[in-house]
Amino acid sequence: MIKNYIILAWRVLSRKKFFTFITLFGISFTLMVIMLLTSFLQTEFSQKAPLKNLDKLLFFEQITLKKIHLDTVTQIDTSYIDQVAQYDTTYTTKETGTDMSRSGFGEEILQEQFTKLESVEKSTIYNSTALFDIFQNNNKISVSVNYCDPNFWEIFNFDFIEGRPFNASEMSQELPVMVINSEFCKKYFGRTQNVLGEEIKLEGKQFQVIGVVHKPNVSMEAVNSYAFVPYTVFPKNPNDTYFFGGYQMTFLTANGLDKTRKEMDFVSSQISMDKHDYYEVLEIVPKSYQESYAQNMLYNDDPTKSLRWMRIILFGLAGLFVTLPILNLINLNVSRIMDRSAEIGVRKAFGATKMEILTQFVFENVVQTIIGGIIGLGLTFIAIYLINDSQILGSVKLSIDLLFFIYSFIIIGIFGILSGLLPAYRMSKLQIVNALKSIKL
Amino acid sequence: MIRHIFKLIWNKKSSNFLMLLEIFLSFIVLFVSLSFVIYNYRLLNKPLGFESQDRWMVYLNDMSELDSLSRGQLKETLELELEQMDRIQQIAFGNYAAPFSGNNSISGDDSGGFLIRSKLATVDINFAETMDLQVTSGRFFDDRDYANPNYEPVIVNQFFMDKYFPEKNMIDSIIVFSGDKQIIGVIEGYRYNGEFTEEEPMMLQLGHPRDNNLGVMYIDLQPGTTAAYEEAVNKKIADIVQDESFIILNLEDQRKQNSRSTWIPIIALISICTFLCINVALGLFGILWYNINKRKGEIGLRRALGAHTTDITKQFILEIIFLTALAVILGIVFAIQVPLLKLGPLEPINLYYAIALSAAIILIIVTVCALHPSWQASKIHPAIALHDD
Amino acid sequence: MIQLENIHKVYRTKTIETTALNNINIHIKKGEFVSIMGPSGCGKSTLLNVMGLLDEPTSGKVIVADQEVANYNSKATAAFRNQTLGFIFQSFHLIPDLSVIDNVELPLLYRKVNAKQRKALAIQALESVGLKNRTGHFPNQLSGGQKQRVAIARAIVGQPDILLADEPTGNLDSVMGNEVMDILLQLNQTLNTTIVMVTHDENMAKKTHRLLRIYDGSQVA
Repeated sequence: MIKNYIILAWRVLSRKKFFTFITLFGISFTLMVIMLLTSFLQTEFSQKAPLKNLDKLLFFEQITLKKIHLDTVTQIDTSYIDQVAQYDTTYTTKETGTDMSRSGFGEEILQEQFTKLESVEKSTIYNSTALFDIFQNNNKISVSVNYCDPNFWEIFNFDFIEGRPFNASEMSQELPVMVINSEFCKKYFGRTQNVLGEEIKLEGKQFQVIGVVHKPNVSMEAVNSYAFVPYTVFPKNPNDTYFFGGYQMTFLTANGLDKTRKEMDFVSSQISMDKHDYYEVLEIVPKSYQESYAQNMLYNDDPTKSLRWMRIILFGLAGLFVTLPILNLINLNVSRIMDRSAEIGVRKAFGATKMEILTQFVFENVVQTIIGGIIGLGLTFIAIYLINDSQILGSVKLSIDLLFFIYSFIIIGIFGILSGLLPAYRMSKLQIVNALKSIKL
Repeated sequence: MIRHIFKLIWNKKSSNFLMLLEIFLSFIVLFVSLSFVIYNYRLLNKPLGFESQDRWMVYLNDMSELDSLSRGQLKETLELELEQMDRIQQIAFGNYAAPFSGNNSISGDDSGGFLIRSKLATVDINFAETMDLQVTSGRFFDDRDYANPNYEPVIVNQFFMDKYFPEKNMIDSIIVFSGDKQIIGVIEGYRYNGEFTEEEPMMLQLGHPRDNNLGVMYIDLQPGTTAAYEEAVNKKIADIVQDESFIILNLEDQRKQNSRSTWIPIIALISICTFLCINVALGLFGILWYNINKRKGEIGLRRALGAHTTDITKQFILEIIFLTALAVILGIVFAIQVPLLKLGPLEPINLYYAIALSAAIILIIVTVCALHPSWQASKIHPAIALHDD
Repeated sequence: MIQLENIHKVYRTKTIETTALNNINIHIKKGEFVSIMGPSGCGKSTLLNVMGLLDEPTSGKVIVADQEVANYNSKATAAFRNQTLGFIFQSFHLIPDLSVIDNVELPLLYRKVNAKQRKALAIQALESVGLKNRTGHFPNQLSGGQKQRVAIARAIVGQPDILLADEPTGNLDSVMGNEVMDILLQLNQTLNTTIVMVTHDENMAKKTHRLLRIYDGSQVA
């Protein structure tokens, strides 16, 4: 029976070439769009190096200090931006009588208050804001440097091409050692291997390369730095205060995010504000990876709201973009019923049940969708290649793996069944007499 | 004829429903996408207000530990020595509310009787020339302004004027804004956070290079500098400031980088919409083609009853156009709620443009798709169409 | 009224050439009711289509209502068909998406008659075939005989001089067939409409003034 269905489906496809073209065009491009989206989401949100623990991570990115007062008229409002290695440019805003200043964290407050949380397995403090220009063979390389601690390597699981991360003793001895990523390595040395022991001069210091990591495919900034060095190597920025600085912190939670969030809220509420002579209230919002992502995308103050909005926008648009081609296909299929009505009449006259007719037409549609899907998959490969090659998405490199194929085929299947069901149902309902009658008026 | 076509559409409402839905949804998708595209396109068309080509921006390291005298001397040396380099035309200093930095400084004051809110940036007297700002009336800061004037001089953008002092000449007038300020000039604009940002009231304040907060140095270069030249400049600066922790940013690169995050969704939306339109067009074409085949008998009959080929073409095109118009009107009824109820963040004018453009695109697509099948229909030979086997 | 001279009609495909009509000469006078008979595929429908200006002969001269027809695609021919000719088909050819009255109004639509008048004329035509109370129905709600009566109403609503009927009773049982035949005869007598009818039914043919027989594309009687 299946074989019959396949042969029939193939005949139908090859008989009406133009319509097969329209159908396949629609299917393949739609599936390409969905697959690209899938690939993007998978690249950005799946657990893989260096974000194997993605679901267990909480991020501290910014700290906000506030002072509520009633009669101020003038405010100055500056936002700290990590491109600039200047930590004193904080942001002060007045909204209905509130002054606030928001910036990265000072190292001290993080060290003192958040390194000993009970619900946290490990945590790392780092500063990924520094940028240096290096000139090499008449080329300028802008090197982003991440000052971090050894825990960084345990929370973010980088793939090492060669060498190793730096350790606690190198950190405490303030040794100028450096881990670089493959992109920087390629630019600086012209190769991505056999560079261990080589030296790179940065701000008057000779750093020894002890490890090379693969450049991650994701867009998260802190893991995309060109070079990673122990943060003890450079003297402390004189502008850093107890609260403010260029530091961030990432936590690997032990028993789920919510528990840690609660503990953090408690710890935050216990922090004394005596160390600041102006501000009175402190606000620290831990964010999950997704929340942080959504917030960066939508510039919204509230991470939870940002995530909700990002989901609505993403799924809303995707929904619309998928509904339309399905509707288009259904319409086309419904119009084609008349083409097949005589055939259905004959089948029914010879005893085919409604269910059998339904199966046949859904099956035909699924065959068609699978062919379109395979073409779509090919188009997706080309598109992914072009997107990665042009670096249009920055550091995000779309990838294709087994999971991607599984998702793709699920999508293809759903698409096929959805677009075939209604037309097939209509066909199966055809009356024999009407179906057999010539389609003349 | 028109009533006749409405009858035809109405009597076939069940089979027309899906098509109506499809066109309606296409309209909504186009409307949403085009709103975003049009909003950004309109921003893109407004003047940026400054030149980014062949401009560098140098974030100097912090000099707060120096006293203002030695800081002033250091910056003076920088300016003098750099301006002697062959390809450097002009040097200026500004604060951290710098182009593409994402930094903002905003202030508000209502003591003048109404609330004035404005973005602020502090720059020195060479800034306009270095960055090619267009002064439309009054003048830019100059040496005189450093000599302790009675009021703090400020320069505002045209948008500031239009918003707070429309159709008034405020040159040399004093306004109350964090103290008394004298407006000495108006610039066309200075959208320093990029071409995809909204125009906002903007005020430039005067700073002196020796001020610690003027930590960003702007360099105007002759066209065609190389990385080797940049290295030389880098060395020169490093020698003067005795430090290497500054960075030189190419403003043009920064501009491109900055606008990329807007270009990517625009390009993605436009390409997906184009594909959707092609898809819907092909689908409609197919559906029409089939429908016309299905209605061969009807066509033959109409011809037999005296319809001319043009009548047939007209009928089929009008049928689909009316159906489309119906769907589009339905779509407009929904879409118009967005500006009417002030939903969403976009200014209504963008949405009206989007509605008009979406409607036009859909009508054009549908008409083009209907042309060929309708013409085909008119060519159907009555004798064959009516033939009874 | 209808004059066919030396009509030849040849259908050509890539491989075969079929002669559908071979040297046909017919003259039909005004007010005549002529029936055409012949076996399946003998060319009678083609002949009717040629008379109805729906099909172009390969060679020969067609004169309908004193006008020689040359270009079958012109606007003039369409208008001429609309004014002078009425068609009735074996399988009725009612437009399923239009109600009975809308179907009947159709020829007037192409004559740019205004809506009010169209409606009045259509009701009048439907009355003459005894279907005045069915105006709002759709074709699929009618019996075969009723459908054919609607088709006749449509054919006569424009008061054409000539009525061309292609096996009008072919899809009907004898009772309904006779009903339809009676209407046609009555039209012929009261309005003096020229009627040409292709039929398979000897009984029907006998009721007409004259019988033409076609065999293999040629006129045999």
